Amino acid sequence: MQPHVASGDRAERRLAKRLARRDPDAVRELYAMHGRATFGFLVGMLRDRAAAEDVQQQVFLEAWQRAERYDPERGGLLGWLLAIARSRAIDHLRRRVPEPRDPSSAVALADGADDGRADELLEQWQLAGVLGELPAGESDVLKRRFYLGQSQTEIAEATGVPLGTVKTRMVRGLTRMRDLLEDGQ
Amino acid sequence: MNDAVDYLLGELDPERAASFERSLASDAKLRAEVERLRPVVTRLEHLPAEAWDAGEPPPLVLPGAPAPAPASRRPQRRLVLRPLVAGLCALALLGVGGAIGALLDRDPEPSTQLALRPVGDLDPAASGRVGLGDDRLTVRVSGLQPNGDDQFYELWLLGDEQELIGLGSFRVGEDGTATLRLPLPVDPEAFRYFDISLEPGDGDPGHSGVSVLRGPTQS
Repeated sequence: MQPHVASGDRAERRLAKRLARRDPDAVRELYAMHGRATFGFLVGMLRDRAAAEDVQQQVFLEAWQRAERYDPERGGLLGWLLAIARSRAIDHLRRRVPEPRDPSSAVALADGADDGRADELLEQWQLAGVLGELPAGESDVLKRRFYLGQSQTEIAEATGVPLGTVKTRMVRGLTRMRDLLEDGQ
Repeated sequence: MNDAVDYLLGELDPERAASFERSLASDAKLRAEVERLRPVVTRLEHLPAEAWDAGEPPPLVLPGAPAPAPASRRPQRRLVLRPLVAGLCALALLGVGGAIGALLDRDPEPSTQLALRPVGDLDPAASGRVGLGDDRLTVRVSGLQPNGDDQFYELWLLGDEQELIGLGSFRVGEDGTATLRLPLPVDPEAFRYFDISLEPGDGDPGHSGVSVLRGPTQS
């Protein structure tokens, strides 16, 4: 009898419950799962690694202290964290705005004039976060195909994995990503 | 689906691509499937390099929170052998042949074995064993009632203060048995019991309150 593996959705709801109880290990788990994506988003948004490190701490402290605000009906934990990161990044940019404001600078984000860039970054890092949730075999073929530009035949040759298995992993990886993204992860 | 993915990746030869496009034109279901998958492919194609190779984030600092529990308090076992002894051992192992290798590969012997005993009257004849390795555990159960369509069993770590960590869920068929091999995300010695509960498929991630097997986390 093979065990039925708990779904990611179920595991995520369980993690959210632990967060709501302010379990510090839960926020550490959350950080291990999604810290890379939020940090990447913040570095891209703030263009300042030191500032991104500060804001990253704020984001996860807020997630820990205000976890009861998370509503699973509105999307996954990754999307919730990225939304917090977006708000805290804008707060940070607002605080450092010199007077008078230069409307052509990145700080225009604070006034919503460059929301497009924030949304673009958010979308990119949500995708990267979802990639990180895939089984290693599937994320590896996706990375080789879309980052290294290898064809499926080249992936099979480079990894020694049979072509049929590469194709199966490609299909599973793409459909799993589609499902996660459609579920608002 | 393979052809749909090959098509979206541009890996169909011209003849097959033309044939696939004819199928697309006449098959609304196939067309819908391809159009659902296309945005994922497009987004991945435009994902910048830094998102593929994201750097490590800084360590998380939680002011006022207790230090994280170590992943395992079990000391790492180290095998130190002189080269000659190691060589003899290797020869001996080779002599024994593939049988032991196959057995080891199939189910490495856990370092600690713990018994699970029935809780309540639901499955009085049930029994189980938990084998603890350094970073994973093996659970074998028998005598459990087969699951209905809308229920399953779940393995938990249960603490003195009713703290709970779910380790994984499983189903039991007509033979009443199941074997699970799971990673250990926390040190089980930080908890008091392993607990197996019968869970309804109601979407509630919490413990149902219906335990069927339980045993200590330490021998």
